[in-house]
Amino acid sequence: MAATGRAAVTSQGNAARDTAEMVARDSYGRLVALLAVRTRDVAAAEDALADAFAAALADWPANGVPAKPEAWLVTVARRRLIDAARRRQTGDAAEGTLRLLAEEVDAAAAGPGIPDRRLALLFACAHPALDPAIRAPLMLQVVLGLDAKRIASAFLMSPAAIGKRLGRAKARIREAGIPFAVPDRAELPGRLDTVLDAVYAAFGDGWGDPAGTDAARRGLSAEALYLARLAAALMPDEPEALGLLALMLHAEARRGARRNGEGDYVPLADQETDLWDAAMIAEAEAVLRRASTRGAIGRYQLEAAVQSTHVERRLTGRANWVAVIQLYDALQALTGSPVVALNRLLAVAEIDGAEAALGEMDTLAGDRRLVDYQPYWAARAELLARAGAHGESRRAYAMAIGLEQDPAVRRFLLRRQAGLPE
Amino acid sequence: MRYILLLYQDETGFWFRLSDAERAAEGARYEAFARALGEAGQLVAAERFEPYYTARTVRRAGDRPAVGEGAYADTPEQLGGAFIIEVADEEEALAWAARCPTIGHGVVEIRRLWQPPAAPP
Repeated sequence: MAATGRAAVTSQGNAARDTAEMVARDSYGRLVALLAVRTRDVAAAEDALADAFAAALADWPANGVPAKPEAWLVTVARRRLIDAARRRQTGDAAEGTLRLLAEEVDAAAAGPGIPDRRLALLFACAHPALDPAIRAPLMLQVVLGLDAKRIASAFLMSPAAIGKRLGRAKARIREAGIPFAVPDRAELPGRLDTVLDAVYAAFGDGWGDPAGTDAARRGLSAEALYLARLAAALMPDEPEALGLLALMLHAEARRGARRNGEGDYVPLADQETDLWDAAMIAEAEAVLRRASTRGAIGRYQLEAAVQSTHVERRLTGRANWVAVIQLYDALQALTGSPVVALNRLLAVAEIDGAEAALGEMDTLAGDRRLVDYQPYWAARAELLARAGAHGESRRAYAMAIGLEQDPAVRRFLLRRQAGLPE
Repeated sequence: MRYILLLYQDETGFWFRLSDAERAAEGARYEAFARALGEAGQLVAAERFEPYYTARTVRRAGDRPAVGEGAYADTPEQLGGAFIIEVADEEEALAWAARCPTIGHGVVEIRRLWQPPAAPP
């Protein structure tokens, strides 16, 4: 039932739809935050909001879009919330909370605009008391109003399973007393990481990618980018929030170049740079520069900087592999991730040759996390081919092919494998 | 826990229309998939079936069994093979199903294999 508001709005084809859809996209989280901030009952807020959107669909086409659509929606939703609470016959304490809520909502509706508490909502959705795997789906639902079915297919889960887990997470927010608040200065750094990690997880699989070309997509890049922009706008002084936005803009800017006319996968080295979105790249660079003036380096700024060097290499033809290795060294020190180590070795191969990189790669081979990680096998196959170990390369390609989901990438890998000399 | 991946595809509409080279490439994709499963230590069994028209069905007609020609289900997509895998949970089973080459021209159904309830101590 929850979060059907936006779905209902988008499925209606009438004149009020565009306004309603725009309001829905931009306001959904704002309204949920306002309605749930005191009760911490996200599910009830979403149900009430869904009713309000349904009422808007009935009312707006007939009577015209109200001057303050958000205020209209929040007033209807508030009434539903209070009706629902009365039906459940909750105690005096709840009545008090609801009265406070009513006053706040009325004040907000009367004012020039709905106050934006979405930052508090982001922190609640990414709270450490919640299962890390559910944080990104929760944000997509609660802040953007995506329905469980769409989220389920993006995260490769069944709608029933994700619905149940989202419900559990919301119950936990209510029962464990997870605050709807921005953490204070002392607590902020760690909590900020959980928010940014969840936004990044909504974008891709969070693993990064050796060739710096193609994060595993969830088909939600516009939604994830919206979240990243929101986090950066709400925390303009946090360099890592800016770094994440820059990283995602860089990845998004090259999306159109990753497939050719036949739908085949094109690696970074062969992409037509004309197909890159120059405006998005410029924005990424500007955001990253702004982050760097804050003087606090972090994982996402470093990853964005790596993307920056890739773009520069293709645009100018000048490669700065030493800088790339330094960036990966810094990332490795921060994250200890085997994927970072793998990416670093690909840069090492450019300077010291494939054999040297393969020698170092053997120390990574024991890491269980890489056994079913396609980019590891693809990178290994590529380096083995360059080193002339064609038989081993063929076997590594077979592993990469077997692990790949995307048929276009699978075709690409099959062609590489078939191109190896006998 | 164990899951079976049941691979359904339209054999007349897809498989029989491929050239020999395409069929060899498709076979290589399945081999690669099985190898990846094996390397991850999660492959229990992999079987490919003979074409659907070689299937026979047996049911009781009146007082004796009767044998029918062809597969039981009369649908374009027919069961063409199966993998049994050992995974931690449904999510992991779905992740492997998503890598299965059948996806794209066919459908992969995943089913958890029934386990007898643990005997009381």
